Amino acid sequence: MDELDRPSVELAVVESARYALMRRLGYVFRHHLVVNLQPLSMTCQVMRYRLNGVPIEVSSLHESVDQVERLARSSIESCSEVISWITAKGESNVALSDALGECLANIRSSFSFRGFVIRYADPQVGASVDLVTLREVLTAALMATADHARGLNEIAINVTDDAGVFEITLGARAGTEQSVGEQNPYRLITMDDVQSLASFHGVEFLRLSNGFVRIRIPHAA
Amino acid sequence: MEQHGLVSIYPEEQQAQRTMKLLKTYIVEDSTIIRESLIAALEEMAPIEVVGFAEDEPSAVRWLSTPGNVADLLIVDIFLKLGSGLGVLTAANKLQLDSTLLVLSNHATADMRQKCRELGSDKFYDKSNELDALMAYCERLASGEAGNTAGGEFN
Repeated sequence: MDELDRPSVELAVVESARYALMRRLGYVFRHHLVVNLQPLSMTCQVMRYRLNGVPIEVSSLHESVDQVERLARSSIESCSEVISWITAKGESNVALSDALGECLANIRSSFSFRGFVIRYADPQVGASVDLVTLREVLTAALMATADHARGLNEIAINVTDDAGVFEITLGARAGTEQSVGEQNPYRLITMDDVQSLASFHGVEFLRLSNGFVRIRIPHAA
Repeated sequence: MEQHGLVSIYPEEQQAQRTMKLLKTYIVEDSTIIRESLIAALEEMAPIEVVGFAEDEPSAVRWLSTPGNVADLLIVDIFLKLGSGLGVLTAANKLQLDSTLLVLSNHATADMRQKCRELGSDKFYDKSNELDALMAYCERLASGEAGNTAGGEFN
């Protein structure tokens, strides 16, 4: 079903959750956009410095130009990736390990800054998932878990493969790290946000009795 | 690490370069591509010799706590793979290091600048547009002229 064919109230709830998630991920998008541009700027500064040198070393300038080209290409890729997040479109079928790795890499430094440690063992499975679905639902679930951790500061993630469906179970538990700071969030992400995103993507989302949550996401076709 | 190697053609600058010492610098930055570019730029354009780096707070604190490891300058990012730059600043303060503490971050908000100042940072530079100011400050620091006018103020 196309997004625009959905009932407006349901869509509004999903869009609210997605908007909050995007706002909370603003720092991630900023990082993606600048992480290659800043080295590009630094490389150009070095080039200008070398051009002012006497004598000018042509070989070192060639190195700099190569570096500029590499960084520019990487910047283009980064921009495309950010757009794919915002438009919720992009490469569909991605190995679960890679998709999980991307989600965790995006939030790791922010969670670390807040004093959270994420414990996770790579499931080492070859099957794929829909990347857009996993990005939105898992990232929202992780944020909701952290936002409502109430002093617990270790987030555990466990993945199992159950007959064509990945079960991703996660929750907060007591850890050893100390919280040092809070970012200024747009608003907290709630489990209702996660539920609405999961329903939109046709993914089962369960709240377990021990406070953990489980996402059941089918293998991508 | 390569040292600040280019020699000016101007006699007065050559004299200044002779009297300027290289600042032994330790960098805490988790992004490989930014760290490598930063080290290359600093070592070529500023009187800096990078003596080591860390990608996370525990590694940085371990290095700083090891007897014999000495740095004139620490350049610290805030968001790291594990822990944070705030933790590094706190540890550096506890260790009472005789080092200048600079923060170089993309999160240059007023709150973050204030927090870093409270934790003992001497300067705070925005990674996006204050690298020139950081280099200028390093020049002044190396020549013994570092005041509070080389950018990086806690505004």
